[in-house]
Amino acid sequence: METEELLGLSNITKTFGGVTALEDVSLSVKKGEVLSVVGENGAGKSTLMKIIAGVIQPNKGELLINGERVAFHSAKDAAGKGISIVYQEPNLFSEQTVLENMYMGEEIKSKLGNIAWERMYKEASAALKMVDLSPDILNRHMEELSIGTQQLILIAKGIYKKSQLLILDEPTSILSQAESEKLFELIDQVKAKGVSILYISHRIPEILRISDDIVVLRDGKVTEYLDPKTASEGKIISAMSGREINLNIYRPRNYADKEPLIKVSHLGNKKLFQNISFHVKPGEILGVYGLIGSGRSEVARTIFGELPIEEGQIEFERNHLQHHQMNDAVKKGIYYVPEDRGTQGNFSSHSVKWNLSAVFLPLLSHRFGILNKSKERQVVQENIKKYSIKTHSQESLITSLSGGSQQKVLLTRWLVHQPKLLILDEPTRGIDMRTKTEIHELVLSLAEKGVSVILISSELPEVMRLSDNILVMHKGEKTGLLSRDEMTEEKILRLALGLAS
Amino acid sequence: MFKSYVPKPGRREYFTILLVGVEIIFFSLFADNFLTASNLTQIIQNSAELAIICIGMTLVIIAGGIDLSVGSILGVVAVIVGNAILLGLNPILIVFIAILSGLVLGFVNGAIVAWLRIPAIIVTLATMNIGKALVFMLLGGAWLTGLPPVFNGLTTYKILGLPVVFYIVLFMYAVFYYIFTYRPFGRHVYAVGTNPESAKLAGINHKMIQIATHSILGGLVGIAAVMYIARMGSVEMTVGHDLPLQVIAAVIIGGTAITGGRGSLVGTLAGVFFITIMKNGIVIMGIPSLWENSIIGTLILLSLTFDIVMQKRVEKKKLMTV
Repeated sequence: METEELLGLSNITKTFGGVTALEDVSLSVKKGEVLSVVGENGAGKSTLMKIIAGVIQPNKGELLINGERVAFHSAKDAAGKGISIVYQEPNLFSEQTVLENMYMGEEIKSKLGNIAWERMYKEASAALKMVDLSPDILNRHMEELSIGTQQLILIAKGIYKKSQLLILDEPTSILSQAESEKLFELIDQVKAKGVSILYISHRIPEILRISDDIVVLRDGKVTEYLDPKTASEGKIISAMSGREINLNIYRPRNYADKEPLIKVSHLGNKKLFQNISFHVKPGEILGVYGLIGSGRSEVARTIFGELPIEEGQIEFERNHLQHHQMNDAVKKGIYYVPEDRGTQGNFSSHSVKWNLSAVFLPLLSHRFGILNKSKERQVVQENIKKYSIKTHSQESLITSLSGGSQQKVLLTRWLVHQPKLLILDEPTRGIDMRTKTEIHELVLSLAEKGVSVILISSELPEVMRLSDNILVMHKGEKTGLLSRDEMTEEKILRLALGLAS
Repeated sequence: MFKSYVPKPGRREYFTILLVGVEIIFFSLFADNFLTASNLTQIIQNSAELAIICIGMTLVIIAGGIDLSVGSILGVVAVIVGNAILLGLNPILIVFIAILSGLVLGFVNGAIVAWLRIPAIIVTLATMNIGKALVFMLLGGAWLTGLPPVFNGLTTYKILGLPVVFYIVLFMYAVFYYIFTYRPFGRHVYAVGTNPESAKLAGINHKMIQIATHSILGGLVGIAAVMYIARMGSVEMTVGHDLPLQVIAAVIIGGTAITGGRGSLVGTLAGVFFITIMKNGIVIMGIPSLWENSIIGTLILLSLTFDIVMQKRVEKKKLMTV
């Protein structure tokens, strides 16, 4: 059965800096179909959705809606063509009521231009009924509701707006089982009305259940179309993971006979993660892999003392960590290089020197704590040279450096202290290939010197290249711990997606 | 009119109203001559200028901004109004000029904030000081006195025992309650203050909101400048110097979040009365008026602390429901 095309993409290419996020992507969404987009982290799914929703503009290629060429300059343009998007992270006004949130920027107005609260209330009540929510919550402030309810409200809004195309970006990642069921019923209903849906999810069973068609993205390219009637879980996973991974960079190290530096047992924190146990020996690199929301960063932040140890225990150099705080961690030689360079790592309005030396100023001080400026300059210069950080001078603003060089500054500044345990959270996100390799090399050489490394990454190739063992997490739980001999891409993905291996 | 789905003040605002009640009881007990008809009329009359300006400051702060230059705007407009009276212009024209000049000064603040993307606190700190110098220059180092009593009727003429300015305040609060609650513009002010990024995605022009809120504040200060002349009959050298502190204090005590996104006119009006009654009570009790500003400062701190404690509680509640 041939149905009409609603949305067509041809040869869409998008690059950020030097990194290609999408390359020559062409696809087509028919009226009233559910097209699922699957791919590993970083395959380009979110970028693709943002282009369709008008939030970002492609470098090349064109979009067709009902056969007509369109160019979106903003989210509003796309909304005008009947495209609505529900983001993975709910995008809302926490201090306003649910009703206001549903209509912000597109209020229903009376002839005099007043807000027609009553009409909005009636319409919104009907919309909420579709997702089984009581109209009573319309009067409540958004911040009082759980994140799942917030998400359902935004989905209800998207459906009720009489969209032609509804984009759902991992809607079920924060919904409960019952809420998800409700969503699937809804998807069937709106589909019957001729609305098309672009669906992104990591959950293979639900994709098989609701999709009419599945498109696989890998490294920014469309690699395959799969028919959900015939495709199996295994087939989808191998289509997602079918890339070449060069494992040659890995060098075996001799750490096996040593005592563990850190032992984590049954660590848990409310709903963030539960019952996580592992240990890391000196000179070992432990990879931690999981999807967003798997709790992997939260485990790391607990070890670093940013989150409290609520359940279980951490043993470091045979001592139990109690009332563990960040400055204790640093004193003990545990260092954390955070995920988000911009907001958590850099002192963005300062120079390279300032950023580099910030964490070892006490080492550079005279007695009475007065800073030895020439020594500071000297140590900073040594670091810049030793780790080939590309900067005009030590006085250059940190933000004037490339992402890769900024990351090197963040990483190398801890090395002056001779760390015992280094926690790296997404160390190479958004970094070009060459610097990435340099950072990988650096991590390996640190391990060779006996530093323990916990490497958290969304990039499977990176984890596989560097790790001696890989801890896989899914929804806050440990689903596997694989040694170098056991790890295959497919196996890791299955564990991360919560499927039986 | 008071349907459950129409946005309304939160519990925080009722707390301020309660505070005003406690304050009235306190001064009634401890300050002689507080609870007399003439003193209460005096309080209402003294609160008028503050009340009008606070409407605009509430808008500006809810949108995520702040304006330290309100006193200077008041000064400049008062000098203009004073000179217009001396020129013998038509009073209605003078009011029009006052509103317009206030509007223009507010617009300048808003335009710099929005287009040059300089934080409002810095922009208005600068324009505050420029304005102070301008007032000094225009006055030529002496008070502007001997103004014919063109506007005195605003405070002396009474309807049902209350001065005309009281009815002007009432009218302005009604108008702005309508704007806050029933005009998309009013809701968009909240949206920009709560989450500028989401507001952008919802197609709200946040620069327009910043410029408009500062301009409206300026226009309202223009009206207050006319009331100031009506009350004082002259323009003093230090006109408006304490004003920013009092205006911001009234709005914050009234429950408007300094971080933007939350607040209401009901709360602001309660905050205005709280400040005015306190100033009045201090005088009646014979406490040296130099304590006044330090008490207001303390109240700002207490109010902000209270808000942070409440916010922490909400966040804790939220964490439990995730």
